[in-house]
Amino acid sequence: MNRLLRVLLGMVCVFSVGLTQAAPKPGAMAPDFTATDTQGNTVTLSRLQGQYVVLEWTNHLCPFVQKHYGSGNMQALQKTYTDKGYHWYSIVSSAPGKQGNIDAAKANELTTSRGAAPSGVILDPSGAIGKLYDARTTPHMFIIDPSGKLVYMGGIDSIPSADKADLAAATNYVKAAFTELEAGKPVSTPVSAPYGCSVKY
Amino acid sequence: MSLLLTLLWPLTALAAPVQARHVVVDLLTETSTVTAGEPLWVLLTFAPEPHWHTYWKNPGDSGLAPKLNWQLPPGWQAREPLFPTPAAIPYGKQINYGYEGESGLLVELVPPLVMQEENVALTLDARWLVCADACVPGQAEFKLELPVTRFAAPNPRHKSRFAQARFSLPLKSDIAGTYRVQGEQIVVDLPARTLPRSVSRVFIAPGQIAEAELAPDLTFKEDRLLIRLNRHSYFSKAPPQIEVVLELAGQGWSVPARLQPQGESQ
Repeated sequence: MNRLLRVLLGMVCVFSVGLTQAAPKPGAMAPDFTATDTQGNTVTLSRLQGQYVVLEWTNHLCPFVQKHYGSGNMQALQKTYTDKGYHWYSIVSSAPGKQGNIDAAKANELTTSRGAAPSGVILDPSGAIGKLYDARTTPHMFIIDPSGKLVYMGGIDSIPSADKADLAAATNYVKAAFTELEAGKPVSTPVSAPYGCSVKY
Repeated sequence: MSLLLTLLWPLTALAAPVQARHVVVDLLTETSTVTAGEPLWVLLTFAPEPHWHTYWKNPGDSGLAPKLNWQLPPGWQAREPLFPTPAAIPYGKQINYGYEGESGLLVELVPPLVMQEENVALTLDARWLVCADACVPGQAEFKLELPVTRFAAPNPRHKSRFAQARFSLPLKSDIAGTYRVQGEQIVVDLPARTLPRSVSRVFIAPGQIAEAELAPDLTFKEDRLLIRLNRHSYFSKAPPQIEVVLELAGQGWSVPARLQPQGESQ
């Protein structure tokens, strides 16, 4: 009886691990997805292995996003890392009719007008990719290493606010993570509080 | 001129409400004068438009708690704001903690034991986020100028607002519990003797400890209450103490729970 119970419990554990594996976790493989970016290119995360990938959840009407774009902070990060050959995808998971929901033309116009420099913008109106990553806020940042493992997830920096004046004193976690990764060190802050507007699923 | 100034006193002591986008924000003082060594209570009120909300100290899955930055004369101290018992505000699958109606943050300002000056100037820079589907950040500066008197003069106009604000705070119980991180769970263990036998909501502060849940797993066992919550996906470090706010029919109870050292028996 005891043995049967243990076997059953074991099965339950395996099953629940199987379920929780889907949720993103630093050190685990990043959930794979295939999408088409706003330039019409097919993006499959697992095919980007061999290089770092940044995923940035965004909504151009969210004041927290506006803090990081209005100050040029986000564009500067995008430029720094795409210049190194890293991949950077901005993802919009706003559902149709919800704040921030845009079409490809609008997304491309925003990239141009804001001087943004991502590798591509992915529209996710069904929220499938957002839910795969349990993206909660805009912005919400994820870094995936060349082996496909998630090495950072969380906020863009250490001061949750919508105020540009806080940028100078904040620790930018994306920058901090890359500084450590490029020096061959593990990321010392692999998880931080994502802050911002809710993702408009 | 001096008569005019005298007439203006009550006006400057009552900073005017600020009509910001989607919310009216005001700063009230419990007394209209201030006395050396006696705490001065102030109330920062938020009255959002219908369906808009402001946030608790742990805003939940998104949002932002108000930030208060005081500029006070030397020797003064501002304590941390006291937040009313929050409500759970669902947005799709996400849950925020905050206030859909009017709410007020009580703040205790502690003056020095000796004050030579006739008047004091207190300045608050308040920042907040107010959200419905969309979010709008706001900011206002409140300047209070209060005469220093031997006995603080009550402010009858604000009496009911302060009473309401105090009533909205979670009751502080004299009990303390513990919590532990158990795998993917946060287990809170409280002595339940002075707590209600049924609880509709559990709020944990700070954020990033436990996932927001509308129906937490509660077990009353003899005179203890065990609360099992999912560890937050963005949990990184267990603080020495957390605040557990239990809510039943709008009434909150606040209980501190200290981290149970590993290996310590229950």
